[in-house]
Amino acid sequence: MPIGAYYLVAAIMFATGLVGVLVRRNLIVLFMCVELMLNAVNLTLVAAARMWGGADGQVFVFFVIVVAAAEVVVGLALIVNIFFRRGTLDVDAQHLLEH
Amino acid sequence: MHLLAAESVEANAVMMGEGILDLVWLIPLIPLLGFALTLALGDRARERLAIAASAATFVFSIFVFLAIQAEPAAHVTTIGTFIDVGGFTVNWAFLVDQLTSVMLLVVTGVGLLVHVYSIGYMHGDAGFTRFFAYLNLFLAAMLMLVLGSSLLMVFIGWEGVGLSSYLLIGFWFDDAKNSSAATKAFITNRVGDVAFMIAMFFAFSQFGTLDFVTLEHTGILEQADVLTAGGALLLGLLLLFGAAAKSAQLPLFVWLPDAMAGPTPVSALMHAATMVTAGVYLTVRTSPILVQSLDAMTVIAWTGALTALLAALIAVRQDDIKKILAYSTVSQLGYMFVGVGVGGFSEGIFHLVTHAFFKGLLFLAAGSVMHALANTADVWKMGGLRKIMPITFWTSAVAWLAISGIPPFSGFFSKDQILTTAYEHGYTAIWVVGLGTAVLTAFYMTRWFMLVFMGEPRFKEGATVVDPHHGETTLHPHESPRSMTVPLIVLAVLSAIGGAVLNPVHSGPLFTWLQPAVGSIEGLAFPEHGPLTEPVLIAISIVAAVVGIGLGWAVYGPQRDLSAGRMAEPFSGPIAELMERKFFVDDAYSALFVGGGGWLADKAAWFDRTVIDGAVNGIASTSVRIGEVNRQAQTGRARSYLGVVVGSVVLLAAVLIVQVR
Repeated sequence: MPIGAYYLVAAIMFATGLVGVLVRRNLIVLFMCVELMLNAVNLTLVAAARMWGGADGQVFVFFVIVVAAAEVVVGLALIVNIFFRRGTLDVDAQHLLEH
Repeated sequence: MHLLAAESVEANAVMMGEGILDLVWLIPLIPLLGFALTLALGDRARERLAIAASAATFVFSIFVFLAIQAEPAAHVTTIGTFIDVGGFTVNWAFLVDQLTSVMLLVVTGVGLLVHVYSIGYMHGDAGFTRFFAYLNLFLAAMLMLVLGSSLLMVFIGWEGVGLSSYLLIGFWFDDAKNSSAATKAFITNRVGDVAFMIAMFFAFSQFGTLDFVTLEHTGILEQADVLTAGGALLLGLLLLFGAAAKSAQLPLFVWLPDAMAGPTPVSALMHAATMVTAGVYLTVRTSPILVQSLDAMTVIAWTGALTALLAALIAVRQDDIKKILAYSTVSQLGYMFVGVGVGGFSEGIFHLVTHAFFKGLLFLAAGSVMHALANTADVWKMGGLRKIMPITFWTSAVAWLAISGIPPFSGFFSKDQILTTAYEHGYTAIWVVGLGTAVLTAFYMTRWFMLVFMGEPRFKEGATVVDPHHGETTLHPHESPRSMTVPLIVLAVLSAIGGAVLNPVHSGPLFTWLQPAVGSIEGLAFPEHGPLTEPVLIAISIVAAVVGIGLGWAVYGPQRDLSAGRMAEPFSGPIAELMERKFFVDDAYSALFVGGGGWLADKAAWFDRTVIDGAVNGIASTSVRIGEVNRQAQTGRARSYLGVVVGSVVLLAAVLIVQVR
């Protein structure tokens, strides 16, 4: 399979995630969209690694997955805390930094 | 107009001060200490220290005079360095020569007499001690001025006398009129000081030094001939302008009549005998520079002549006993400037000396009269004082004849010598003006004398009057105490014989004495003079004086009934009005400088408020407005920030892609 197909899928995933982050309001959905973008990147990395026949890209992806797992733990903890404090998960309700 | 080589009088040799001349710096220091101690001790000192200091300087000055007589030369005593920057050095140095010694004697002599006189005159005044402290400060500054060995040293004294003049004119400062007169004197003097300073800058640029004379003959007076014709003219005019402010000449004479707001001894000492002559002293001191430019000297002569005439015309119609004398002082100072301008430097100094005697005497006599009449100043409320105050009357009579120019009194010799010098140096027009002024002088002084002393009293003895300094009192005219009459008598003797003793003929003792210290006029291209010989000129001068006195006698003499007061003035109309209003000079200055200055200040304030403040406030408000707009971007919503980030990245990527292609 040509590399372009992998890139296409990755681009679609990334765009989906990005649009999701921009337009959705629920924090958990936002979080999932971020994961989608991360995995789009992972996909391009392994595809490229495979094409060049090197291992660096695959090693890189392992790191990303591990870091993403840690990030999910912290992120979800924050989200739970926000929910307890504010009683809502609507991002537009979180604007303490407004002018 | 450069000097020819031939010089009949050998210029002074310059040598270091030795013996008593090595201690000459004590002369200004003693009264300065007197000032400081009197102020520090306050009423425990009273007049004692001040009088002791002035007496000590007088004795010292006599010794200095004798030392100069023993060794006639310019003695320079240096006691330290004042300024040493790059190639510019000014030392604390004192110059004593024949001119200085004469000035020293006049200043300390009249100074001592006025100190003694003030004991009686200022008796009972709340500021008695302060008055004597200020007098000593003035003496210190004036002696510094006379002794200074460079333009800057003179300038220190010059400013010092300006300061003490300010303090003493405004001595009774609780009256707003007095303090504004003091301010007027100070500000007018500052105008001249600026010219003096520019003269110093220019002198330094031309000579590289400010010293008058030095042991190496590098002083400004010794190398005056390096000046170009234009440079000499400029320097001469700058010095004239500086001198004109201090010596109350056109166009800066307006402060002197107002300065009469000060106590009368101050008027006698500073505003008649010594301080106002500082300008004359300065021009004579720098006469080797003046002789480089005949044009500058002509300007000086005309300034003096016009001032003399104008002030004499104003004096004819003044009613204040001191203001008449003040305008007379302005007029007589004009004579001195005429003397300097026509090349009679020694004659100018001669008139300075005799004027110090008779005008000091006139002011002290005026003070004595005011003392007797509860500080009344209006001559129309006087009269008939000859019997009540015999000493004041007789001494004033001497001064009156002296200033009018009646031989053998001192004023005749000095004034006549100035006029003859003017004529013989070809300044016929100035001679005519001076002669006219002499008639006017005799006239207004006769008016003064008649109104004050002769005729019937125009005041009521025992009447209740308001004394401006002591409140309501009963009028009891009396002769003044001895501390006041003794100085009057001493000055009367000097006024009577001073002229005949000092310089009875043109090349008399004073002339010979001063000649080495002043600029040489040999070879100056004076215009041709007219046919009159000196005896004829002298006769004309005497006739002028007699005519003036005769006119004055006819109008204000005891045979006339003057009880109608000012209505008895012989003539009225626009010209009399003009003289009474002082030719509107004061009003013109007031409109031009006070009004104009106020207008300018108003406009400047408007500019400051609207344009300068507007710019500053405008920057502030513009910033606020920009902030207001920009803060709208700070929504606090993460998604909008993210949107911006994404948009920017897309834009950047697009740009990069386009560029790579």
